[in-house]
Amino acid sequence: VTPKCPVDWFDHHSAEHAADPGAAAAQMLQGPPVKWSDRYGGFWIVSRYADVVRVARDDASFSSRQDFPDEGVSFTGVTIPGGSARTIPISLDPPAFFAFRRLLNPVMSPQESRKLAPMIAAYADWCIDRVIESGSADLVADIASPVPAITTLRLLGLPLDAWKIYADAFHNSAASRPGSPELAQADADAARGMDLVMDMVRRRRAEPKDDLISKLARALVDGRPLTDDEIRSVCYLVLGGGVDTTTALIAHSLQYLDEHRDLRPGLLADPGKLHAFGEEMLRVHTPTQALARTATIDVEVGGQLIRAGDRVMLFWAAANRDPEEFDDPETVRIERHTNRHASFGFGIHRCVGSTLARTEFAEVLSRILTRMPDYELVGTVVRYDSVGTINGLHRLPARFTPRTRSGPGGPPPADLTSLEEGKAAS
Amino acid sequence: MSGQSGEQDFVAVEETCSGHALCWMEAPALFPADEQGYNALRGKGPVQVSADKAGDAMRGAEVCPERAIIFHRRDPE
Repeated sequence: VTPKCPVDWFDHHSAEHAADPGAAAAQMLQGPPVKWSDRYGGFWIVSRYADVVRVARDDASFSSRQDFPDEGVSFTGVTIPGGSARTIPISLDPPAFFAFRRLLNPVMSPQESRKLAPMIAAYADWCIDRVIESGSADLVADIASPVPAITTLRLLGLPLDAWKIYADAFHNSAASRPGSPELAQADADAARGMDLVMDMVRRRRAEPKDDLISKLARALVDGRPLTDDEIRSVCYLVLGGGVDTTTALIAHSLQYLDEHRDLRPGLLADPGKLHAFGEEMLRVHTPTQALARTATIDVEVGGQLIRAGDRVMLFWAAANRDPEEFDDPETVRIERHTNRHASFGFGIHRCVGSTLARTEFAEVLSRILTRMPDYELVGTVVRYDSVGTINGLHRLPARFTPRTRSGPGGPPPADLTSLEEGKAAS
Repeated sequence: MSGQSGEQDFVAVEETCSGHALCWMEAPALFPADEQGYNALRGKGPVQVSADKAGDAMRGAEVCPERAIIFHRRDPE
């Protein structure tokens, strides 16, 4: 048996880690490929690209299951430490996993995601309209945060003007360190948001519409309707995955384009290049830095014996810097020949919203580069307190040449639903 | 190069396709997505690829994060 060699320098939720997560990811690739941490109850860290792929694909040996205290057992799901809210289907194993995933796949399929592109562009324009005349904005709070949140609410069928409740709660939940008062507050705020979701579930049961909540309210798994707790857990995951990760991708990309302004015209002119740029930002910044599994049997990874019941971190951000997979991994190269980054995961739990995220990225970047072509960051970029799971930015203060609004005169509509209906009618 | 005789290139999409849809972005006609978002050729076995689509097939195989797309180029000999 290989002895455990704890890496005491690594705490993915620490302030030191948040200051330079890329450096920690690169350092993790040095020395023994599978390392051990004593923190958070103890866990293995898998970093090499090939090992991460192997573990992610082996969903029989590596469980995603999360049990809760009233269920007696000890599996703690896909984050380290385990989260406070149940999430479905990410923390289910087959076969139950597939029963729920089949409900989500069609609403975020590539065809359906692409259909949403004009609406996402309209949301971006609405956000830009609110700041464009002033010449200054916080590119996270004013654009990168609301657009994914509004898009996610539309998918679910929630009132669009409630976006800030969900954006703030889920950003703060992802950004806060385990055990902190900020996390407790964010979790409480998210729980209140989920109560509003469940009010909508009851309304859609009575009067279904064409949205995900209506679909979940009427769906069957294994021949029975979903329980309220299951619907809540699916919606919680859709919101958590929908409002935070894409914001992080857009924010890091805007920060990069502040430092590389010469790239802007070329990206705007060439959708293929913009896509490739997004893939490289996904690789280098890895919005979802790491997820976790629990070993179900004694199993070997990278020469290391992992015991049944052991926790295993899949360090996507490290895999994204593995020189065995990526030439010159520390360099941003938009024109990589292939860029099979780990940022959406691998295997059955592959991010269900990956195509939607790519669509949001392309539409938001295009609108910003069109309407704020000379934006420059001013002041202080504020990172999340913890980037252990989500590598996000709180604030990106910027200024730009003021321009006129694109929408009709007067203030931007407070009710985004009316904006949507106006666009649909035109 | 392919296309110089009657023989064909083939592409096969394995069950490990998990719906990243990057092949669909490269070549939607060659790699249509089913309603679940998976490659519609998944698990269907080798499919012939005409010479003018060989480049698309090869590119689809290259971008697949799951390495689920196998491109068999006809031996030029």
